Amino acid sequence: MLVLALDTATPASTAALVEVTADRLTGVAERRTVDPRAHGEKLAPEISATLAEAEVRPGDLGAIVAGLGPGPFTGLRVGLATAASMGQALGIPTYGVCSLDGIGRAAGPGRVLVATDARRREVYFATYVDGVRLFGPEVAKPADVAEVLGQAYRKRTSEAAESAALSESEIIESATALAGVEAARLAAVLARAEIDAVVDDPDEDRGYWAKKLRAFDRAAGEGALKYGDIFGVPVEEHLLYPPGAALVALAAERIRSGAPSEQLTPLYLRRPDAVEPAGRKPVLT
Amino acid sequence: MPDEPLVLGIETSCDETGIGIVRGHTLLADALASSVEQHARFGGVVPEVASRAHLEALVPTMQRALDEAKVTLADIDAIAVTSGPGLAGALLVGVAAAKGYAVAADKPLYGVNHLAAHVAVDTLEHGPLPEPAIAMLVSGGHSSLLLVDDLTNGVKPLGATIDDAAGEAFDKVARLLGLGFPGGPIIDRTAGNGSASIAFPRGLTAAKDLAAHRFDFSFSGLKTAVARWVEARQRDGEPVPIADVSASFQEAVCDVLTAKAIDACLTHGVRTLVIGGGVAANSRLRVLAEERAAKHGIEVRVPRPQLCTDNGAMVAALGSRLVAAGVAPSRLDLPADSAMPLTSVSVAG
Ligand SMILES: [Zn+2]
Repeated sequence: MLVLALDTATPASTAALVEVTADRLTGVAERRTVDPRAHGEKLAPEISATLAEAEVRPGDLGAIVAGLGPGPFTGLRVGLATAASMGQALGIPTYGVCSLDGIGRAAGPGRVLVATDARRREVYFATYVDGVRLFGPEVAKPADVAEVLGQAYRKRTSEAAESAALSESEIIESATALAGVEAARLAAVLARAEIDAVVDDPDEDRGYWAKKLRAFDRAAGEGALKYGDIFGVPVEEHLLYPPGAALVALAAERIRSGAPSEQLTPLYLRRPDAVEPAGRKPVLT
Repeated sequence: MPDEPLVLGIETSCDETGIGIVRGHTLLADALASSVEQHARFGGVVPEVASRAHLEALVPTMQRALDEAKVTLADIDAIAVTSGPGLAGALLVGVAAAKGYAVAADKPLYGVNHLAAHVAVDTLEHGPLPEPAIAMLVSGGHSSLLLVDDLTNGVKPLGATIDDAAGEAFDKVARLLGLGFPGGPIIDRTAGNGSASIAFPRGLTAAKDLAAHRFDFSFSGLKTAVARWVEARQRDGEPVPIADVSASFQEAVCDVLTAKAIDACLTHGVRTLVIGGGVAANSRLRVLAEERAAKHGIEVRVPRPQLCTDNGAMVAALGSRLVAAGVAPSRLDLPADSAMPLTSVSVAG
């Protein structure tokens, strides 16, 4: 089945065509333009060119996968509005995936921090082990990321750690019993990164957490590059934006099983900036 | 007439998600989803809230329009979308969706001017528009007087508000009087129980202003005058006659609007006045315009209220005229232009 992937959660507008069969994914064509203010202008011509390059008509598509962000709202909505309208016009299902997951998935094995630019001197970020998300997506100032992660890890593992077995296999076992597979994976990371000690560590200052960030093997995403000095984690400079094939891979199970179409709701993470006016007092109350 | 083009229109320039379908001058569907209630507590449209609502509403609104018109996207001959002017982020949702429909269904795409669409919508109710015509567009977002020589080819702006839009003035005065949002319909209703007995100022009508601002409007001074008047009554411990204040404020707005519109008609030798935009639904504006136009043999055309406020039908109506006139469609890199000038009625490829 031919699947179209779209993502506009970063400065990149990406359109990709991926062939999905029962046992493999094959990239057919992909186009990307990097311009943070031009998603609305770039994406549709890219889709058109990608289809033309592969000699594929829109009617040949079997599904659409779209990156739900997080990302700057205005650009993000371009990809989702386009994906939703195309899905409706073609009568094919649309599936949403987290855009950061696309980068995390493509980053491959190891402990990876993915961060994209959230503007206003903040990043959207999430953490991955072997391509699977453990934490996030969240939004924070780059300098606060380490602390946010540390707090979350501590909170989410305290139960497992309290059960006292501190060897990796024991943590996984007890965590699985307590909270299922996800918590077990998390505990495994902590064991490997030796972050589990934070449970008992009263020192929560920024320098301490920044040191803990070093537990990551690599960082990816344009936010990681932009704030590389703050994170101090080696950046995969070839992996700044979500690749189309990785987005499709994240939805492969749904595509293959013919799962129902999903409404494409952005991962906003921030509320709209809007203040109720104090204003003039009404004459009559 | 089966030969007339079947055109779909998409409108998302402010807080209404509108999808309309027309065949020639015939309205087949006009589906609307409004986020107005989400903005009420802010006393005005919040752009990000509107944009979020558009994205949510687009697909279901499209489905309602197609069902209502009993057509499919494959039947459509062309897709028109408001590409400006309006709220940038809100416009972009509609433009992106229109492109998705155009690419998927392989249809020509027309990026059109929102204000020109407000004029074109009248053809759905009253048939082809005699040209030249004067158009007065009054809403929460715009207050303009336009000279329409050929709607498919360009519209000449004669004047516009230099501060608040007319609808904005209604909103602000309604808030000041504790009447709620949006202000237009509430003030109209409240004014019905009062008399226009208070002399509020008419902006830009003095001889010294007319030289530079003959066809421009200003409502900010009026709003301040209403506020001062109300405050003075409160300070004196007297009750505020809400109905009379509403009626007097409304009279001041409608007086200026209609006087300038008729003046524009006479100055340009035009015998047709089209009024559009949300404020066109105001009952006093309609009556006063008819009254004054009749004295000069000018015909006033006001579409029914649902077509005056923002909707998809108006965009489809303009698209239909562009298709019929053989105007070239827009390209797929069509931008959303929040400050789209009236000199471009559509964005040619
Ligand atoms: Zn309007």
